[in-house]
Amino acid sequence: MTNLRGLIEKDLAQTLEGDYGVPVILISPTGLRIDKNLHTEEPLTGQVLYESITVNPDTGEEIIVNNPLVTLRRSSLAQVPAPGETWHVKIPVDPAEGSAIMDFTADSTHAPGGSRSIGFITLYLRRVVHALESI
Amino acid sequence: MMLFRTIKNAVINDILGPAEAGRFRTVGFQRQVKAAEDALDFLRLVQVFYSSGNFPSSKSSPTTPQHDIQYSIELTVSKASSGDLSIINNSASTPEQVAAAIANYQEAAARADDSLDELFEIVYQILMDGRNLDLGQPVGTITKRWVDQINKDDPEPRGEYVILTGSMRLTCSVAEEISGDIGVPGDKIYDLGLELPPDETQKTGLSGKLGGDT
Repeated sequence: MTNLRGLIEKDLAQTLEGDYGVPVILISPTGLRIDKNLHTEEPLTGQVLYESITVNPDTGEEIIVNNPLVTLRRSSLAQVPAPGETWHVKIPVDPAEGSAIMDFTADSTHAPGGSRSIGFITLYLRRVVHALESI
Repeated sequence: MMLFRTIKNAVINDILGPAEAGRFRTVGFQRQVKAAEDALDFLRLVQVFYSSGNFPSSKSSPTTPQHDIQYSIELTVSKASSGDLSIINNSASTPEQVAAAIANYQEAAARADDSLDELFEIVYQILMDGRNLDLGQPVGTITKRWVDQINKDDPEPRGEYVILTGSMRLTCSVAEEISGDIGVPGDKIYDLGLELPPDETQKTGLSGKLGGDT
């Protein structure tokens, strides 16, 4: 008999990786490229929220910012990001099919969120640009 | 125009503006909301505005009060993280090379900190340059030009980027002139004049024929 959390975890195959899933590629701090779903061997997908509502600390008003969040099913990953690690994340610019891929980092300044007991992980992304110089 | 306004305009248009050279942008007011994209990389924002002033009576004459001026110069920078994406995106790169590239990523907060320090240096050097001793005014107009304070705020993640602000305080003293304010007549709100309709029947005026022929 499966408990409720187990059922919810199985449902993540639909709620996170179903028709609304967006292709995601992770690259671990050790250089491991994770682009396949462990369950299906198909391209890894997850839920991507591109914008979120936050409070502007200058004015106190609510604003919408480009703040991509990627939520993935933990059991689909060959390696799960841990707090303090810097991961490279590739997601499409927008959910439309064939859109360009953008580079982000799930950096060590923001620990991953989500729920271990339910089985999903949320990564908070920052843009990463190609630059060898600091300025 | 009082000198504190003249000097502010000179600092923006004659001193900081020509020195921008694509490294930052200067505006002369407090922008309420600053999007991270508006201050990204070399769009670094410098806001100059008059923040406070003192008029010490002991150092002033009745018609030329000394004005100890404080200008606030607020700096805003925003940065993304950076790294060698040519290795990350090269399918021929080995996992070791990719791992080394990721390990060398520079966090956005660190890059923003460097960028703000550089901007502090640039603006400070411009303002304290000996050629700008008079802040664009005739010699002797200004005394005690000085940048006496620099503050840096905490880095703040804003969306995909990190935004970092800081401020400098520029002080100087001038002798203002009091010329008085003659005022400017405003537009009239109600200008219909006082036009009473003519008393055609002559029944209300004293010159009329009240009470019949007399």
